[in-house]
Amino acid sequence: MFALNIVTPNKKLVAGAEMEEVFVPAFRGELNILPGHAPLVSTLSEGVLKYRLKGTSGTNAVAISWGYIEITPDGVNILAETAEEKSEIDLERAKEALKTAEDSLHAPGVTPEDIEKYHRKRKRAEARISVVSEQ
Amino acid sequence: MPSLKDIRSRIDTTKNTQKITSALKLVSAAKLRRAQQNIVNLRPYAASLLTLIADIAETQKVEHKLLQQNDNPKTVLYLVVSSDRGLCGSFNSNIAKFTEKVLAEKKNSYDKLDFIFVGRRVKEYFARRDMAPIEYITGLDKDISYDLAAGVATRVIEFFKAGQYDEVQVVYNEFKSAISQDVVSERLLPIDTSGVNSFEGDTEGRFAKDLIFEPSPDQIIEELLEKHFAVQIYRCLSESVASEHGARMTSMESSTKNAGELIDKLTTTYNKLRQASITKELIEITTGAEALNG
Repeated sequence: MFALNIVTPNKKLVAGAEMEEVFVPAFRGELNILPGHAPLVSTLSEGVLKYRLKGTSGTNAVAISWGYIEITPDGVNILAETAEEKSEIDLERAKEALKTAEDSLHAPGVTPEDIEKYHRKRKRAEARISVVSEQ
Repeated sequence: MPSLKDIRSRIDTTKNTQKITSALKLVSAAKLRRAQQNIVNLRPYAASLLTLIADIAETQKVEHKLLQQNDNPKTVLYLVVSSDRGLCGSFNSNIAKFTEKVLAEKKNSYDKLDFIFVGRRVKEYFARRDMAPIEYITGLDKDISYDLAAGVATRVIEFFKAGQYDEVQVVYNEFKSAISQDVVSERLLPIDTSGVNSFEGDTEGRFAKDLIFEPSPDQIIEELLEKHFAVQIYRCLSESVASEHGARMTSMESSTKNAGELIDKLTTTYNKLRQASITKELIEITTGAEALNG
């Protein structure tokens, strides 16, 4: 049994579906999780999460923002603040957000907190764009 | 004695009011359904977050300021949740009364007692009593968003971490059902994990011995606790919004009913008056005719 759960405050995106493999943007870079992975608890950063359902060859991509992952022998539990599938993403809006974030990063007089904030914003926008443009 | 015209115009205005109240009732019913769904959707997220926190705190022996229980708080912050709009029965006045009671009872036993008001109603109520909150949050009109809750949470956490308060309480209308709401006060900080962890005293719990933490448990729990707090605030706001719609639905339903009764009563008076004037005219005509014939 290697099941995946993705839960956000607004919905349950994936509930216990059997997986072949899962890719997550973890604290120290991307993790590729296969059945039999060592138990692990980690935080997730903004990025693209991909999973491949058992018996299929294509992957499904989800853009996520902050969350954490818990790997147990039974599967993977993911709690994310937001998780958006391709159909939920507004590409134009994401592109616009990316542009504002980049502009703000290069604007004169940005404070370190702002840089942190806009970096996250940029990463979120990039994740959304790559979810849409993939597949 | 009001004239026929006066009564007719009163019937018309009452009918218009009735239309508005019944429309408001329908709108609230739809919004209530959505708000209820929101609460249901949030539950699995909140539950698994809290379980993980409890498990990590217990098995990894993590100490954190947000988890340290304090039996004798001296400085307390109250987060009072009301609504931005009225026309929802006793929804807001219950909250205001409860808050006033807290203020009267606790003012002397605490060194510091501050309030954050969410929603326009409670702020206006206390503005008339010359009491200002340290912060005021509005914008509950539209669908309540997680971002709004997270914003509130970040600020409160900052206060708490800076040692400004020992305890944070939230006062809101708990959603019981569409027709009943209860004002409750809940302690949100410090976070209480007792009763959640099923592995008390166990050093490993459900975690395997060689569990990897990335980053360290201390850092993870820091983030988890902040998220947990934000989720709790979001839950309280969602419950309050659901209660608000429920309260508005019931109060609009009774308004519609009252309007109906009033219309019935006015119509009866109107008909009686009309009948009386017809009878009067008839008498006048017949007496006139009698006089001519006489």
